[in-house]
Amino acid sequence: MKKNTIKTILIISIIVLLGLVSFGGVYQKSLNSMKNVVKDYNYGMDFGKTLLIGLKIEEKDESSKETNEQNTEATANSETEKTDETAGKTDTTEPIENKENAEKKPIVRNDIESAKKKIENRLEALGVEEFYIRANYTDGSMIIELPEKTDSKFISDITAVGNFSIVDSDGNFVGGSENIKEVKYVLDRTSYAIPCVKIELVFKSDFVKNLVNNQTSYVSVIDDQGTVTDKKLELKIDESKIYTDTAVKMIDDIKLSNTLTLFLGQSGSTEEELKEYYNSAAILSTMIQDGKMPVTYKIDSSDIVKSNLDISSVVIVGIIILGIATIWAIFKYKSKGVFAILSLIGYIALMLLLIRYTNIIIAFEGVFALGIIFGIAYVFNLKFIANSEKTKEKMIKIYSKTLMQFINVFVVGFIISLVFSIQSWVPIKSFGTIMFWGIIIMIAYNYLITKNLIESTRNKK
Amino acid sequence: MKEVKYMKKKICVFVALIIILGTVLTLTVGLNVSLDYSAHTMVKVDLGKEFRISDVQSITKQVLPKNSVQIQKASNFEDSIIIKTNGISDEQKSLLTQKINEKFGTDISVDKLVVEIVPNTRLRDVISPYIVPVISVTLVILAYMGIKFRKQNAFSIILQTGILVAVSEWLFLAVLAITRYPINRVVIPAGLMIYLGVLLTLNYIYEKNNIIEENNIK
Repeated sequence: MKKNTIKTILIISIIVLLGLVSFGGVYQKSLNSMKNVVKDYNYGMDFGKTLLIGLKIEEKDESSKETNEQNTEATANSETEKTDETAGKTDTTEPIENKENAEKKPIVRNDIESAKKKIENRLEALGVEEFYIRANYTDGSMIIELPEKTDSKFISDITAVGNFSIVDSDGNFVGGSENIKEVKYVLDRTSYAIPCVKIELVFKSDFVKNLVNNQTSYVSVIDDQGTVTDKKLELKIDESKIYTDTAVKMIDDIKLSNTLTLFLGQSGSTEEELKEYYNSAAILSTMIQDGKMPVTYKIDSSDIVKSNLDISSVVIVGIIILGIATIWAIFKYKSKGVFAILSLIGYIALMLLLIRYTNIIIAFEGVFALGIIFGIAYVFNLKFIANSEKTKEKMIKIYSKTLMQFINVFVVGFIISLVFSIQSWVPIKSFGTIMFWGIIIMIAYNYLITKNLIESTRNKK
Repeated sequence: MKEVKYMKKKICVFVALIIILGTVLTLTVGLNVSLDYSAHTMVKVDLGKEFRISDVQSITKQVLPKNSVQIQKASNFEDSIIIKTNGISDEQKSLLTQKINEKFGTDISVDKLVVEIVPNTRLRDVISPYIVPVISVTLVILAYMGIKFRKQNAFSIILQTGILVAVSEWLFLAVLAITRYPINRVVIPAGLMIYLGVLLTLNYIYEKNNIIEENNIK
């Protein structure tokens, strides 16, 4: 009897402690104020802050501008039409003077749709787990909603034209995205002495064949004074060079397996730098793979906006529901009902602590998952009490029996949680991970806490 | 027994009527999409000082009485107001500025308001991330149920579950269409909760029947 009382007091103390830490926090003096040292919740866009980026189409004839930029050197040499034998296509350019007079390009719905898709791909490549893009198909403007923590370094890359080109030393266009079969990028930690980020450009066979056939036109030139000039090939994204090498060497590299490998990173790179290189590789690869944007965007506005949803209103709803549930449990099971609710409060406190420390992002879906999990825990506790009242069997047997009654609910919940938690989309992932931990913790918690708490009330009787 | 059957029939007819009415409304009038997803006007006011949402709410209630309005705090210091609404006239803009200046003691002119037309978010873009996970989960669960309840006419259980999940979601959508409840950020998680609730409840019931049947055999 005494042992039982001690056990009950111990369990209730644990629940109270969990509740105090989880709902109240642990405060320590920091400078001149008290600071809660319990980790904060990680809110998604639903309850946190959103970065709103407004994009507008640049009011210039973009297509002619880009073509002119791409062929600046060629145009400077008054070359108005040239045939690129390597790429096997004719490229017609206009003199720079004509650029100013070019007419404004009409907005085509398909272009906006394609630009939107490319921005989506770039965001996904960067690992942005939640975003919304609103496109205005009349003026082409867009509003991108991103989580506030999105790395601002890559914002300009998301909207860049992303025109990939291979040009020779004379500025002649050799190839572009259309000659690429596949782009892969990986953070390689094992193959080399230092970890590095690799981008593998796999070219189409006919392009490589053309390149090899024309290899002789890229050999080094020796002038009258005997100076050797190596012909080079440059890989560019828009106007930025991403890789340069002598043409002969680059072609030799490519012809081995139709692949050119680019490396990002250097010795002594920190994990953070490697992550940045990886993100750069992701963006570059997506640009190369997708081809250039059909329209050029400029960032028109950027705002950080706080969600209009307040988590405190969710908490109030939760408290009201818990109040109703408590009344019902006490009405149905008297003092045992109180213990069932006490156990449930301990479970809620534990789950909320776990959510903080496992860095689960709380989206609206996650809040609903919590509602479901707490609902199941409540029904489980009441069923456990009902089963314990029916028989004088050992508590472990009653616990197993109750667990078996719920096994299907747990299995189905577990399937859902597993599939959802491996998704990258934050709202679904939030739902899945909360369900996942909710089920595991519920089974263990009910065995350790609820079972012993109900057992103590039964013995008292 | 007869009464239960009659009651069941009554419920089925009622549900079918709601679904038909909701579907007709969705196809003809459409759903009532909230400012979360519909095209709207966004007014940004750089207040330069802290403010309470309720204070701005009382202003917008006077200036935009018939409009749907959402108010948010913006900028790093949360000292800018974002007002989302489904349209604002020049007159309303100047009245809004006047009321804000009166309330917060500022001196903001109408031309300092940043007014942007925000395009809509397509509902299919909002729903699309959920489609593959929900369908794959449903298939796995139905397969699991088929194996688990093979002794209780597995095919009928799978069919019943599939139909009930689909009907409950359809009913939810129909109720939204009839009540003109705005399609906002809460609707998808609520739909997900209904989906899960139906699946878990059905599984609980089938499991209970399974246990009873096993006990009867014993």
